[in-house]
Amino acid sequence: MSVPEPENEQEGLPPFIKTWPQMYAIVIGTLFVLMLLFYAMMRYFA
Amino acid sequence: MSLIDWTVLVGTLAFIVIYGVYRSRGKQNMDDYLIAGQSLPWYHVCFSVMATQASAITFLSAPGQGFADGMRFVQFYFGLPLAMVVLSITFVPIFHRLKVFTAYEYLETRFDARVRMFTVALFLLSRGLSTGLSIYAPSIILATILGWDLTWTNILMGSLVLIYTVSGGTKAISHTHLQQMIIVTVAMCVAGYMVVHLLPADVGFVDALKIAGKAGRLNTIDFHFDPNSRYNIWSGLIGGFFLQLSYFGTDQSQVGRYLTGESIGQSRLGLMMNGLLKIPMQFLILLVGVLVFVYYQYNPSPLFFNKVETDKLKNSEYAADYQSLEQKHIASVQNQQVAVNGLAKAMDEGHEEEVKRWQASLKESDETQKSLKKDAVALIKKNNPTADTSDVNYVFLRFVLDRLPIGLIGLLIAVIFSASMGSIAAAYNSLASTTVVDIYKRMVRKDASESHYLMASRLSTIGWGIFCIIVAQYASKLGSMIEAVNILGSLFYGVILGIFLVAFYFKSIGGKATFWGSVVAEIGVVLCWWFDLTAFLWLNVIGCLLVIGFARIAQSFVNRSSAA
Repeated sequence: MSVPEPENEQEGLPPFIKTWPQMYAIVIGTLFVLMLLFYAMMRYFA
Repeated sequence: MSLIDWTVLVGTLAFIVIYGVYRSRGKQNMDDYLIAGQSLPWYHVCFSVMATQASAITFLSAPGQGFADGMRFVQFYFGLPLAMVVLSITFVPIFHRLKVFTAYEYLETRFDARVRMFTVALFLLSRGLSTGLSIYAPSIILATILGWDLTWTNILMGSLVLIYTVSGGTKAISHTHLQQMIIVTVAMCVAGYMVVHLLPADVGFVDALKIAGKAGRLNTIDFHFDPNSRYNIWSGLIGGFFLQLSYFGTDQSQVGRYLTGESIGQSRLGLMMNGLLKIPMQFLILLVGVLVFVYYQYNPSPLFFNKVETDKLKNSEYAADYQSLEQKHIASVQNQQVAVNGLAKAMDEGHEEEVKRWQASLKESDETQKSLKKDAVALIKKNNPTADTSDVNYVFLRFVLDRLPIGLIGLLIAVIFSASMGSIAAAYNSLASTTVVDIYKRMVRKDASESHYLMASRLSTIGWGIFCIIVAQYASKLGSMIEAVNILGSLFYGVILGIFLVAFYFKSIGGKATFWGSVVAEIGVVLCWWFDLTAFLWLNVIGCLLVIGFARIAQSFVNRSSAA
């Protein structure tokens, strides 16, 4: 199987993000922030 | 429904269909029809994958789930952002660079025709049947509550999308998905605002959350590890990750959406935004259901929300039994109203002991009402063994019809249709593209013209539309088959994902080993389900890991026999 060469790796990134790993870190970080917020909300209102 | 509601409903649906047809004007080839000429920006990819995943049942059942069971269902989606990252790193670049129309084309490039056809067969079987049920599930609820004819509701639900899906293909679907998501988001926000507005004057949004929290409905995170528990943080992160990865990575109805991105970057960004937006969206939908729960703490709730079934019961030999249950329910509701007012007052005054006392009283009323509901379900089943007793599906729609103002009712019914149309259109398109690309073009007519394949794609879309509507018509006669078809997806998704992961990450494993490894893994998954060894979400993990394990073992046998 031969996969053609990659195109411009930075294409598609939002202006304030420089690489795709940074974008992935933001998505995973947001997930953990959301879980933390949900937990805090659950404890606060329990 | 009033004339205004009908006007809003018909106007919204007509707008979606006309807009879809309008966007599909102009010349088309197969590339345009199946993957929109890979020309769409990230926000189309994002909203298209969201609209494909969010079916009508999402907007009917999820608020009901929030009402009955609280927020814990949100954990089901915790694996989704992780899956989006893996998709962006691995699946998206490979599919884009190989310029495939379907995910299954890649499997022949990597393995052989046998593995490709095996996964195509699994996909067509499970997606064809489940799309029929996607038409039936909201139709039966709308037909029951609004008194519509089920056959015509099924036909309307299944055929409206055919108008723009057949004429415009993927481009029309992506553009209408964007409209549908805007309509759905606006309507759900307005519905959430209206629920808070309908609460007593001295009860605000934060007060409602306090009541919900004390009643155990803000149970968003559960750290307790239990393989038989459907929703906890571990099943969400691990089981959910495998489920979402297999759904988004190997189900053509989703692969076909992100293949429309004009570049790898645009497809990736669309998936990343889905990873950021999906959990908050699901949280808000569940929160609307929790707010409806708070509303019914201050206002009398029906014992059973599916009024059609209770009306049948009231005219049956079980009428006296049901009346007795209703009287107990009314007494419990009165206790609950005293408890919720006492709880609100105690929280305002900061009396900890009083808060605990009223909280216990509120939970006791909740338990009593759940128990009475179980008794009512048993009576309904006795009276009508084929009755739909999953009351969570009826909670939100009943609330909308009974409590929301004219105009908004029509808009929320339009939301249910829109959501349904979004997922059905993507399913028709994926079934047609798989049929034409993986079967017709591969095995029947290898060298026909572009216009021939375009016509074949259109006819295939119509054919699958008719098939799915027929499945929807017969779904009511299938009874427990509905549950069986839902389980069917879980039985196959993990195995299909395993095949793709072997293809991407285990380069030394060939087609023969993968084929036999996946056949043995499928038997293993079926046995796990048959002996009820675990909750269904974990079947995706088991199926995937078994394929990888068995394929590696099979490859070592293949290597030995080659060496000998």
